[in-house]
Amino acid sequence: MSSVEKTAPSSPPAAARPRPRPGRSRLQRSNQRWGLLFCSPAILGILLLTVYPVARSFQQSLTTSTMMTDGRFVGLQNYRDLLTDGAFWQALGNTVFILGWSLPLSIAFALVLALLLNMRVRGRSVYRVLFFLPSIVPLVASAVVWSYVFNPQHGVLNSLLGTVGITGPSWLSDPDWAKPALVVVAVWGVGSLMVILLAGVQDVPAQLYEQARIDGADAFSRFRNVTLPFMSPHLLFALVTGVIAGFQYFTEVFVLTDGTGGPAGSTMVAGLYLYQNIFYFFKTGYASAMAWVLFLVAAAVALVLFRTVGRRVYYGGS
Amino acid sequence: MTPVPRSPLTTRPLPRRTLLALTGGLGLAGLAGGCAVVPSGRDAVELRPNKEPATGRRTEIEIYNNFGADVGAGIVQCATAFEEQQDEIAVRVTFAPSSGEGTGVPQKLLTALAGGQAPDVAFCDASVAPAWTRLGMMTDLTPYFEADGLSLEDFFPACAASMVYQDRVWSMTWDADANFPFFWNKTLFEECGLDPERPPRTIEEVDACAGEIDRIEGGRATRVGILPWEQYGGANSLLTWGYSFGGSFWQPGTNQVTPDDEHVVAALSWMTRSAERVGGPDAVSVAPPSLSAHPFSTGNIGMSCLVTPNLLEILQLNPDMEVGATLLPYQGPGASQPGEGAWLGGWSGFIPQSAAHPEAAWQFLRWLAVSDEGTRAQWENIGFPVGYAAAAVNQTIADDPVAGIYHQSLTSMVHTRPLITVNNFYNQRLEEKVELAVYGRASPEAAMRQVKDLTNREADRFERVG
Repeated sequence: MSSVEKTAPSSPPAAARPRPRPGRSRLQRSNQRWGLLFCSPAILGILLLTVYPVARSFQQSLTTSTMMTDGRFVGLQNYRDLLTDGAFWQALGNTVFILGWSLPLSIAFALVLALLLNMRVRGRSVYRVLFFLPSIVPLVASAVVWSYVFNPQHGVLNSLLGTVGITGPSWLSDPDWAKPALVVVAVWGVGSLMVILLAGVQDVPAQLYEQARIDGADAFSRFRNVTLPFMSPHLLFALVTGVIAGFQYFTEVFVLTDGTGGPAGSTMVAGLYLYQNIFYFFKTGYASAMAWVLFLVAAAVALVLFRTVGRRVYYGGS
Repeated sequence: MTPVPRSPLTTRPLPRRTLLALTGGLGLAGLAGGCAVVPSGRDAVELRPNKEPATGRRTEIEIYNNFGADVGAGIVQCATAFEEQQDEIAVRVTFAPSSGEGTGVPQKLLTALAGGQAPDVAFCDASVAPAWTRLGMMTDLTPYFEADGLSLEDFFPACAASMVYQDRVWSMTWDADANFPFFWNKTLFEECGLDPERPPRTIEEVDACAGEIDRIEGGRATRVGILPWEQYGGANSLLTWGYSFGGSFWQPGTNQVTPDDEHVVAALSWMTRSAERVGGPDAVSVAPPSLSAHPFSTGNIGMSCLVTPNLLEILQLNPDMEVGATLLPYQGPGASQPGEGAWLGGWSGFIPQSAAHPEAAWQFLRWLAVSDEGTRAQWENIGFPVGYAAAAVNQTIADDPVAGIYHQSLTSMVHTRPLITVNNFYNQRLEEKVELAVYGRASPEAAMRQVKDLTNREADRFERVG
């Protein structure tokens, strides 16, 4: 053995030898470099257009910056000021009101439409297009049309109500009815949600309906015990994205009220108040703090929804 | 494992088809509900609010044009006229519309300023100067002003007051819009048994006339004497009537506001009573929703304040409507004569601090606001009263059957918008709280006290942090 050891070719000890990294050949490293190069526009885009603005917004929320000046660091002062800003809380209340009514109604309306449009009826494609159309109409254009529809005297809505003997309210001119009017507008544009729910309805296994029928389940029971559980992931998605969109609500109210949030502040939502703080009052730092508070509120609500509603969602399987 | 089959489509013939059709029909009806737009009478397609600069000039400046339609096209025509009168400076006009109510928010301008890409000339309401100068957005025009031998005394008093902040000149008023003369529909007056040649001189007389004109049908006011809360927004309305009652809105030389002034509160109380008389602001329905012209053009409003473009449009749309013009009615004991409530609106030009060619920009601004050629070009192409009292075109404006009353209001005008650092904030709070009072959600006193507290607190904050 010893002779063998002596005559063995001199080679460096194993520990000193360059060891190829596990799973990363030269080709793979080359591929990775090329991959990163090809992805770099997207990565740069995310860094510059998402990560940087988000970080900058947080940094500004801790300062007195305006649109034109960087301001000075004030810590959490902007956040403390928000706590005592009655207009902000009123705007948040209006936002929650519109969200609280429009989201359940939109989901319910979209679900009903999805169920109806899943049935074999003549001209079904036409109906699908018809109900999807509102969601591809530009928001500004549809808001302008709605301002006509809501006109108290000449608008089509009050004319229709008048045919059944109801004197319609003044809608956007009435502080009590302006928010419900915005809810109507929100419910009108459920086309995209309807398509998502329609896909969900079509994913329900047909044999379960058949088994339920054999077991004597009526239509409502089949909906309650078969359709709904299978659609619950879609509904949770609708709920969470709806909450997020609700806290970002802006365009319709801006167009319908000329950016005033009127009448009498009844439609001043958080997004519009934030916009006013930047472009009317130049308080970029304060508005950034507001944006972060809105983000945290939306995130908290989404988290609660995941923890509560999310537990009841059926993802298939056992 | 056998794949789970997808649900087959239900095959039952359904009465629900009817339901779908009905729902779809309602959707279509909703879409089509207001599609017939009542035109304003102008061919908007032919009007361009932007232009390329003339070629072969030594310097090229850029102007941001806030205006669309015919005013925007008028700015372009003025820029072209300026290019024709000299051969050194070319002018690019870029359309940069404001959004929102009133003078609006010049978003494009503000973002350009924030990004250091400012145009050479931009337009603003002169009352923004206290805030905008503090934020470093405007160039001090005083050296140019003095070098060219201009004098503030040559401007109308209200214009001179609004161009100056802390003894420096920051902007040049080229549109001295008098807010407002007072107009009445003679045809409607006659129809309602009123003397069409005798306009009201006081607010009490306005009330008396309105009482004869108001018509309530089915709970809605389909014809009204006056809508005092609708004179171009709640804040502008209160400025107009507040001054007409002899009120004051701020302590000059400070940033402290006084909307709780007894005469201002009296004016708001009158606006509130006027709204109650017709069943509330939400009960007013005098114009179709698609009307793009001023509702006075419908013939269903007896009296109103109007700005020049609206008046011209109304006269063009309704050649048979006889419209009378007079000075704004007043109310004692705070005020003592008609026209006392008028205040300066309109537009001024300024040079942003980061402008690339301030010297050339000044040449244009001076030409537009002061020179005989520029003021005349502005009057002929746009049609606004000019702010420079020494301009020769003033005689033409004074003699004009339509604009004469604006000129008359301007010559005696002393009021401006509040010249304070938080003017935008003040305006927004007035907008909101005036509506609260007019809708009966707050007493005029309480509403104005809230505005005062909020605005003064904001002014203090502005002083602290800028």
